[in-house]
Amino acid sequence: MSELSEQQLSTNQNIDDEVYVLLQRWTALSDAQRRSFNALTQEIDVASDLIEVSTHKLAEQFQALALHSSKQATQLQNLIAESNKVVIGEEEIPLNDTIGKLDHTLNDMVTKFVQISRNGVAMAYELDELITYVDSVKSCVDDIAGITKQTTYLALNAKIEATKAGEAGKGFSIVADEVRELSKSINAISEKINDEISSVAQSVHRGREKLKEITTVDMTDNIMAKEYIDELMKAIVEQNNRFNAAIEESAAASQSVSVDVAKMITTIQFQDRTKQRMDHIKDSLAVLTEMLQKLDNESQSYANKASVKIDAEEMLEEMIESFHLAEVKERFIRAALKGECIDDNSGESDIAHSEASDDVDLF
Amino acid sequence: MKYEIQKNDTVASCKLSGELTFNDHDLYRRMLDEALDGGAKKVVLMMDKLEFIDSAGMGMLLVGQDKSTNENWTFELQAPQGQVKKMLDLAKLAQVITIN
Repeated sequence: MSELSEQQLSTNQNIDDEVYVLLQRWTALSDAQRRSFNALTQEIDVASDLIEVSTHKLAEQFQALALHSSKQATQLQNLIAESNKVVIGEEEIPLNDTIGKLDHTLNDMVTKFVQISRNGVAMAYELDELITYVDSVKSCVDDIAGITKQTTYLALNAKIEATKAGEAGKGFSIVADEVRELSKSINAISEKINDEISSVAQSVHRGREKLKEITTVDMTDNIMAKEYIDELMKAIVEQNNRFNAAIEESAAASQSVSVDVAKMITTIQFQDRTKQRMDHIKDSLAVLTEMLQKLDNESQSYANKASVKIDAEEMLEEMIESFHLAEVKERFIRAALKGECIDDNSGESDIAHSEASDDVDLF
Repeated sequence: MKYEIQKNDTVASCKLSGELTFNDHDLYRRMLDEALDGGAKKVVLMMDKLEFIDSAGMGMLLVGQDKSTNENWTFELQAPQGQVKKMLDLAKLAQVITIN
């Protein structure tokens, strides 16, 4: 064999080795990709679980929020209903009706005050008339007493004249004595009537004074109190109406929150759609893994002829170096480097870990 | 209370001033008698100068109304002001007596 041919052979062998090494690198990369796809598929499962659990928790919390908000709206409506009535004994009276009833009672009271005053004044006028009549009667009795006095004098004169007449005037003397006795009796009766009339007059005067005391009790303040109570009740109703308006607004807001939360619950049902997309990615990765495995099988016999051995681990480690999340990095190492299967419940534990600890890697 | 009476045909106008209380009941009756003396068929109480009225005073107004009904003449109140107007309103006297 010529020297040229040996050189040519050596050159050809070097070229073949470079191709084998290159193929070795491709198969190593293929292995690294398959293992990465496996790890990423498991990572997708973890992410999918995380989203599912979180979404369910979020939906539960929103449902609780909607329930509380709905209860609050109901309680506020009850409060409005309660504030619009008053309970007296077992009777429930609408607040507006109580004002009508109170107004009616106050009107009745004021009317009675005025009627009492009218009757008092009318009675005072009647007593004034009575006193006038009593005075008139008393005057008549005084007239009778005057006449009786004159009759007594006449009887006395008749007695004197009868005595002067002697035997002839004896009968007149007896008549004169009887007239005097009669005058005495009339005078006694007149005095008694006078005493009685005086007692009546005194009683009427006392009654008039008592009536004056009753009638002059000024009820002006009591009547004026109606105005104050009217204004007070109006103010209470207006204030109650303002409270009700505020409560109604609050109840409407609570009801609106319930409706909004219900919409939000519907909105966060994206989890199903997300899971479908992730499953699609997993399927794609599985197809890619199969294709890589097939290509790897076809290339392996040639790649093994390479003068150097290239491990997929080196490439994986280089890839892992670029990961930012410690949890993801750790799971990737377990799945891709160590060939472990990531626990199915790791999603929930991840959530618990995230909620309970501040140990969250930030980008 | 003080009063002045002006008569015009069958109408007697009594101008009241001061306060109308129970102490004036005798004077009030004499005023009505004086107003009606001469055959007046209508008595008008001018109240714009009346400053105060108590419950007895309102009783006297009602007695005047009763008297007018019994004796067939007309009784009217005119131009109540201030406290007097408020008292008449609260007692709803306009339902019984003509108030202008």
